[in-house]
Amino acid sequence: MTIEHIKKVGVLGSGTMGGGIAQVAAQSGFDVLLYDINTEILQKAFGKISGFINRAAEKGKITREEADAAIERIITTTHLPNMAGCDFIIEAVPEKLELKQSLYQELDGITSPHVILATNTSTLSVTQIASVTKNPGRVVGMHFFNPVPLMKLVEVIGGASSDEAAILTIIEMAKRLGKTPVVTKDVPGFIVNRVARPFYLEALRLLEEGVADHATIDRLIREGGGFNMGPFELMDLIGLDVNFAASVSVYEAYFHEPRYRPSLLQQRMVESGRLGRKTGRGWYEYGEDEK
Amino acid sequence: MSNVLVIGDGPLAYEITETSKLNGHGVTPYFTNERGPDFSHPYINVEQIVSRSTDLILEAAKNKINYWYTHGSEYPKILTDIPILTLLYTESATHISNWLRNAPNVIGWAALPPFEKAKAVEIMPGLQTNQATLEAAQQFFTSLGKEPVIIKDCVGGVLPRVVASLINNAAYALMEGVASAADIDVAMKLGTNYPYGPLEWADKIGLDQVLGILEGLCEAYGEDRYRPAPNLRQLVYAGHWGERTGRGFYEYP
Repeated sequence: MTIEHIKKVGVLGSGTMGGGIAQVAAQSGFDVLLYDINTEILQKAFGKISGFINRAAEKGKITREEADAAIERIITTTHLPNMAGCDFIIEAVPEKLELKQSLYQELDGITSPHVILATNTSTLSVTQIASVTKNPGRVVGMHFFNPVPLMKLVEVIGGASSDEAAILTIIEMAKRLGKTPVVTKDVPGFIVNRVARPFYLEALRLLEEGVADHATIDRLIREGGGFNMGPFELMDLIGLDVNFAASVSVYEAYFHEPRYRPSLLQQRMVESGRLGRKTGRGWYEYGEDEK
Repeated sequence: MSNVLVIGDGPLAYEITETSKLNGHGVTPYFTNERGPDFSHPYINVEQIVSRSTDLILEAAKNKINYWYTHGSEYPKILTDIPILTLLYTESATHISNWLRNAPNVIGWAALPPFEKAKAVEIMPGLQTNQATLEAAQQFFTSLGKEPVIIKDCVGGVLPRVVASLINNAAYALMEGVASAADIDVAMKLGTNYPYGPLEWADKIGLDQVLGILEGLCEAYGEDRYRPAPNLRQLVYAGHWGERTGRGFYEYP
């Protein structure tokens, strides 16, 4: 299906990423059908999304009319077969291969084979997700970054079986959502989560070696190199557990490539429960208002 | 204000020469490989370029062995009193001072282009560096408007090591056809807020310099994690060293 035919977008999963995608799609003028497994989760997600949109109107970023119209365009459902009415589907359910695969198999019987299925996976193989469907050609990776309304980047991932036309439609779709698409192969971590690994891992090595303390390393990266945040500040923001899990996942996926070897020091930090801002302590300490 | 002899072979040396002049220093530049590979003068006799009025030697070269090592047997007496600030892209300060006869006067430093934007510079005293040399290095960088930050002596310091590793990883991704150079750079700028994409940054630093850092780390640590991407090496062999040669990962018409 080409971009002109897409009016209604289905979003599977109403967590942080799914909610953000639904918000951006509604604000870009698409009708949105947001799916999740129970009504309570959906109500919570809808409340959050309309809250964000209303706040944008209060701040004067969009008009009151635009905000109301965007909120009105979002409908929620717990009934997957309702996706039959969607022209484009973006899946953002938890990163479990079996969960995603079973969902795609169900969609085989629900949607027309021309409807593109975009997966917002960040760690799984698009090729593997697509492999269980009847039409693997229509499954393409569409990786958004958190927070979706603010982050401009979308990685468009062509799996081994993805159709060229479907990839082109996703590129157009990303542009319609106000994003900048980059095309990447289906490799673990795609571009960003792969290329960025040494930013954290080398900083951790420098700390382990005693070259400098974490605050000095952060300062040199910021003031010497012009980065907005140092690696340790960024780990605290992302969550040390999330960052460590990403390193382990990339390391495993590349068959223990030494460039991606995770840090023992970081593992100990995770084990101690110092996970960053969210726990009030990571590499740095945070007050209640900084969490 | 002092008389500084700047020896170097890359964009950082050219930039620091300009910054030193702007801040009132008398500068004698001695550059090799200014516009790309030039192997016609593999060894430079530092004794011939250093003068009685030289107060400080700032070296910013990856092939420092060309400047320092071969003079071991006829070590110029004049050098024994002058602070030597050596760029730690390829060896540690302690390692370099082992080639010289005035180890206490040798201290390491590190930064990356664009030097103009750097607010802090890394200073790395070797195991034998004396206090006077440390103070001379601190004073010199302070006079350029940069804050000197002391860290432990090592190859690559903090910033060059982290950025060279990012560049190497991006070069591998490029070689493996994961995405185009432009898409890799756009992704890293938008997805992580890096000031430059790793490949465009490599073109500013000089691909020869980046390869030097990685080879230095390989030599110092003996670990596979620093092995340079083959495509980076190929570009360096071809003389495609980045912005200054008109071509690196990108072309500069």
